[in-house]
Amino acid sequence: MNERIKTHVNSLFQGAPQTRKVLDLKEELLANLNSKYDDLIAGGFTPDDAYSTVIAGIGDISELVRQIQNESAFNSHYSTEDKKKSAVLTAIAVGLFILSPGAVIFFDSVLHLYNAGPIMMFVFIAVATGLLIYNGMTRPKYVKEDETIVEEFKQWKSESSEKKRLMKSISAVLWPLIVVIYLAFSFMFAAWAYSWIIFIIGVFIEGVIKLVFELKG
Amino acid sequence: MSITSDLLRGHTDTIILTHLLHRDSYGYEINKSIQEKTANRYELKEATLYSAFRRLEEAGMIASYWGDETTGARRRYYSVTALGRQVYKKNKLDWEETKEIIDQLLKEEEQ
Repeated sequence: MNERIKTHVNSLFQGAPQTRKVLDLKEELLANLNSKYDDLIAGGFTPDDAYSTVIAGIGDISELVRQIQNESAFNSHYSTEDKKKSAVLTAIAVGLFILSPGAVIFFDSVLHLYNAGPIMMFVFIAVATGLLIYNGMTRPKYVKEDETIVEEFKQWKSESSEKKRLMKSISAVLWPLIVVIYLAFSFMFAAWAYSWIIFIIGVFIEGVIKLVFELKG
Repeated sequence: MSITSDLLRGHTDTIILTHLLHRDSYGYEINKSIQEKTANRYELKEATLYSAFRRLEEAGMIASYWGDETTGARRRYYSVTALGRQVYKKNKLDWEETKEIIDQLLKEEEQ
């Protein structure tokens, strides 16, 4: 590793953001320049001549560094848009959950269709649940920028937290759903004496889902 | 060499693809082979070379990976993709056609 070449390359990258891609380009450039330098020395060049030949061969890399910079800026813009989409989906789902008992009141009291109310409520809940799960599943994964250990670690971390996130969103949907079913069932059939058993079933279902996730991981 | 360089620069991508057809390679090796093939008459600037790598990789014509050198610094290797091979074939045909046309057009007319 020639120190003069290293110093020169460092100066070329001065002020550039220390992103993975920029550091990779720097490492690639340095390795190739050093090979060239060694070849020139082996071919009978003096160290000074070899150094100036290597430096003269680089050309203007500022444009290249700028392009890589713009790329990273584009990537962060992309994720903001995804966040927005995710926020809208969550808001609609929560809205549907809140409105779902309203359906019962509306069909029962206003239209006097006694069976339509609970059915509409469950439709609302089903759509809202679907939205939440869709949202959890379609969050962008962390995409590897290249094959380095750091990137692999980031991806691994993102994948395991993605699983946790999905598990969380399932639990968040499961329990309100169970409460709604409990209330609806108990009111409709006056089954308060034994309908509480659904909570035990709920714990069981959650346990099974967790187990499935662990096995998959 | 400056006029010729301008003409050659338009073919940088194809020159790189050609070099990768038979084996994976890295920046300096590709440049060295260009120098050798042209008897030191042509050499790419590093800036030109890496811009071309980036462009080709973004277009899916080449892929890159880091080599596992046991001594010295890591090297970034490039390999040509199926798309890259197709583009190479097309560009080569285009060039042969262009060459013929230019040859015809630049020929001095016999009186």
